[in-house]
Amino acid sequence: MEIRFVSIDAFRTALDNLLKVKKGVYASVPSEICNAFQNVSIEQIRQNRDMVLMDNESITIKLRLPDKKQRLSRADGYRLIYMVMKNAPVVGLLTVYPKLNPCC
Amino acid sequence: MCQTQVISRHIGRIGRRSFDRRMRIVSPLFVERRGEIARLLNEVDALSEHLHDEFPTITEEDYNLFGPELKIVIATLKSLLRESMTRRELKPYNERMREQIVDLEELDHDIVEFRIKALKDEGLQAAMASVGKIDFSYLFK
Repeated sequence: MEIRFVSIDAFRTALDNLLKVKKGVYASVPSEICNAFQNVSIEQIRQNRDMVLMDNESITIKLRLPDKKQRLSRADGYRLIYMVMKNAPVVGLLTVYPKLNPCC
Repeated sequence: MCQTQVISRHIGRIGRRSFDRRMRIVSPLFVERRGEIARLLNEVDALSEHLHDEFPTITEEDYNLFGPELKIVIATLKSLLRESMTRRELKPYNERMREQIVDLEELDHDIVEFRIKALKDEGLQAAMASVGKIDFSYLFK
């Protein structure tokens, strides 16, 4: 089943801000996000242990991503918050931030 | 109720062990027993795993029971880490202990924000309900 990814302004702004940080410290964010969703089914995306919110229509998940560029594990890497719909293969990207420097 | 008793038991065991360890580290008669630290860290891992697994079912009532104990465990582990950082022979454990503290702090924060505050936030609940009404079929045409 084909999965559609959509994003909100807050996510795109957060991503832009991370990519603007000097020396490309957070340049690996896009690839880490892509890796997280590569070759996974919509069911796997929905059944994540890091679920933080759920209602009748959607599940919100706080996904822990590694930062391979800075050699950081999932615990210290990025946090991606996304919402996945229960009745459609749609994933909404809500925000992303580095765990160790959430101000960026 | 989630498995509050199991979580509390985990916390109680860690509390006793970490306080005990802390006292031994600060004592001049301290004799390093790596096995004890390893067991303590394994128990912290088990607590973390348990909290992650139970996260979706944790209620405010549960948190009121184990939340204060969890905060004490975090504070004690921080003190233990500070003390162990001054001892060269305990260096191999410091990074693992730091990661565990960060993980427990994040879990504690997420429980408060997502399992307690978010459920009472009418604006957020309304926003989530309205997202559910969006017709996404246009994305597949």
